[in-house]
Amino acid sequence: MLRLLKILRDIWILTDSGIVLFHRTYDQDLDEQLFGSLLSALNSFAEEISKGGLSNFELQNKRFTLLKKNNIIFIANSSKKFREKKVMEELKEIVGKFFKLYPPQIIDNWDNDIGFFKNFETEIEESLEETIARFRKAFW
Amino acid sequence: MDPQFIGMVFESVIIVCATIILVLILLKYLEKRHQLTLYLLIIFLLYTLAIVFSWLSKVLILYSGIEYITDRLLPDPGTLFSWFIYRIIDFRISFVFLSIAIYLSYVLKVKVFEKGYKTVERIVVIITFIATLLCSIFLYESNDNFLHYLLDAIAFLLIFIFMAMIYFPFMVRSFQSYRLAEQDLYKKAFLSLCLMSLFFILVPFNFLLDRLTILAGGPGFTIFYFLAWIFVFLGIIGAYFGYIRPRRD
Repeated sequence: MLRLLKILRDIWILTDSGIVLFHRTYDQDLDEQLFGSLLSALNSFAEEISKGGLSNFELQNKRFTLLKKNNIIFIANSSKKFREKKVMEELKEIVGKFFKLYPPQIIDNWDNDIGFFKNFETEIEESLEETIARFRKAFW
Repeated sequence: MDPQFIGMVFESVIIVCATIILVLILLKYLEKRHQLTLYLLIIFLLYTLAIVFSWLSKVLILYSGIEYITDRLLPDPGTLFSWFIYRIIDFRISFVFLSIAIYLSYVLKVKVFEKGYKTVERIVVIITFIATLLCSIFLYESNDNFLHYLLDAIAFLLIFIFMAMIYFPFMVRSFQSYRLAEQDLYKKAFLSLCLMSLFFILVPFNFLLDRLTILAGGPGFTIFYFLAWIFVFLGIIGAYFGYIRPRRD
């Protein structure tokens, strides 16, 4: 049974070259493709100076966690209060679900249409943010 | 003092509390005009009706003067009217309202906490709902014998199982959200909903214990009966702090 995703807030999945394949963000003001390119560039730069690249970085009260597998970069942000290990566990769960739905050989033959990854949203379990958003709309 | 009278007074107080929360939910619905608020309104309306019919059972026994309910040794007249009267005084009509309210609570739980229905879970819930509903109405013996009390206890047991089946996961999800939420406002609201779920489960549980004492030969109206109504009151308070009180700003 899949565990509930509670810690991760925004999620981006991008290629090495910075194309955002999938994103789930609560802050609609952000241009996801621009943000993806920035993160990809940042990761490439980090790979140049350190072999493993970036694993996480912090901005104000948010921590961005990165994980690269099969040339796909998975990025998610979360509150700094959660332990890195816990955040990484949830991100690994996302990675697992992603490659289960889209195996590497399928991604290799991908026709550059990002609509192909749209269904991934349904694979991601409910988050606390979504629950709160619903309560706010209906009751609070 | 007649325990039926004490029960009637106790339930009158609960009806007042339930009506207050119902009005507050109605105001909330008029403000939000949201489908989930409407669900909540219907759920609490059904809960209130269940309490009203429980109260009505005492009023009928105390003041209606209908012989076959004041003296349960008299035979069932077998009329449509007596069919309803018997089911009112033995809480079966209340159970019908409760069953529908619990089912709608499941719908509400899925809509607020989950992305969609899980097929197997939904089928199990629907089957339990229909079984509880039908048993409440038809698994009934009006004559004052052991079977009457046994079926009574079974009806209470089914309501308890159905309530726990829906509100236990609701309680768990509320508690998870309480632990993860950062803002105090949300933390308090989720904790209130968690407690509300727990109290709602304890209501039929205590009624069931009261029924079991009757089945064992006791007169009923034990401490469990009053505890059940206290948990209704506490559940209403939980609902107030969980659904009504929190404000965005």
